[in-house]
Amino acid sequence: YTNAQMEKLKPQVEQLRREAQVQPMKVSAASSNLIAFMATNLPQDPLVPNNGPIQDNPFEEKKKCSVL
Amino acid sequence: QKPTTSSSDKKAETSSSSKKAEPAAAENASRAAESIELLAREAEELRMKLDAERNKLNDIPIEQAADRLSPLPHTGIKSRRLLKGHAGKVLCMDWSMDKRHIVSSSQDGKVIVWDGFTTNKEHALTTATTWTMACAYSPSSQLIACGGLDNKCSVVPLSFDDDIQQKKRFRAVATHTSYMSCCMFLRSDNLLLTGSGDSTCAIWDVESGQLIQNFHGHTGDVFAIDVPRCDTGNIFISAGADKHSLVWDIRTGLCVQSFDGHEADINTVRFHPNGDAFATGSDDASCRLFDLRADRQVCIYEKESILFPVNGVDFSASGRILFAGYGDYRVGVWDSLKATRHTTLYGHENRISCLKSSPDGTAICTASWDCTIRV
Repeated sequence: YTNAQMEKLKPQVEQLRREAQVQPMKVSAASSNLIAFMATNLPQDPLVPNNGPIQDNPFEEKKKCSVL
Repeated sequence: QKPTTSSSDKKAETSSSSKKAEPAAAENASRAAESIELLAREAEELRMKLDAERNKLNDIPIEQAADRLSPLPHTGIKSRRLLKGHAGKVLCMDWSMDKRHIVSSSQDGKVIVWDGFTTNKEHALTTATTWTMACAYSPSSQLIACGGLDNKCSVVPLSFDDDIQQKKRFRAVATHTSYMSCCMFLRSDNLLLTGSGDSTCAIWDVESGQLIQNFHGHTGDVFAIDVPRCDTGNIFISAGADKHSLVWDIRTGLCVQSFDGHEADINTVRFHPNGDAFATGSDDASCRLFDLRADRQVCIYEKESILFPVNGVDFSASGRILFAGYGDYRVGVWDSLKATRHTTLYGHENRISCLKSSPDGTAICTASWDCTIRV
């Protein structure tokens, strides 16, 4: 009974000790990073239309050219 | 008259001899109980300390920071391809790195490889098990991994031999002690990462079938795994029935970070394209965004009107959009920063089981219990 408890507790405590060593960042700083990443990559995001050059959509049905 | 003297003498005798052994046993027992109590107290203190730290740093919610951003324009996303051919519920799909081919697996044990552009079926394989819960394309696109209720993950090279020949080439690489719920190749054709109902994850050498590393820590079935898109890290993430997401160090097998928040099973997990955050979807009908460096949940995507489990999540290429596939057959298109639902995509006729963005973000693919796949 007590051995089983030990076996369960020990790795949990070791895990928590490891986690306690992580120095976390403020949420506002993390948010800034996410927003900055998005801002850099948004113009090339194929699923978010923008006013830039129209990107080729490989899944769009190709329109047929009509030759006059 | 009872012979009390003799029986009490016997009692005195036995109790004195056992009393000699008693102190030693009692002492050991009490020492063990004491160290357990100390450990339990340390665990509790550490948990409280961690929670306090994380709450201290929870200064400004992300939606507030995102307030200044202009709203998402109308995306015009719609279903452009319908892949029909499975006779059973489609449980999983994966994109090839060529951004065009898709592999899917279903409840009836069939695995199909599709050309996503033409909708043609290029390969149709029958596995030895039903409920093929997971399938994956290798980075070179030459191998497929799949498995499920057979507790295994098998690998087969794709070729244009007929199906019977192909069936012979299925080779079991991973073996768990319960169903295999998720699998993916780890940066090469020779490393396979699996998650299982036996609550562990594992990395296997594809050629030899040898177990390279296993990962113990979840206290419930593992339902989902993911690896960051950017190649340099040495971590992966897993999530499941214990409502926790765990970040693992691949080399040591140790869990380096854990995240809680969800109120029910987590069915899906996906890294943000920046590699420092991830999203999860759960039976609690919410999706959540967690940041590795803030070490906590930073956003939740939920609405009172959304009641069904989330079975698949993925991001658009910039991370701005979070797509979520629900049990009510719909896809939610969320502004991941403002935490608002931008639109809903309709089309499937049964619950969505899997959702993945293509490698270059030009499309998302959804698999459903309605036996179809949509791009």
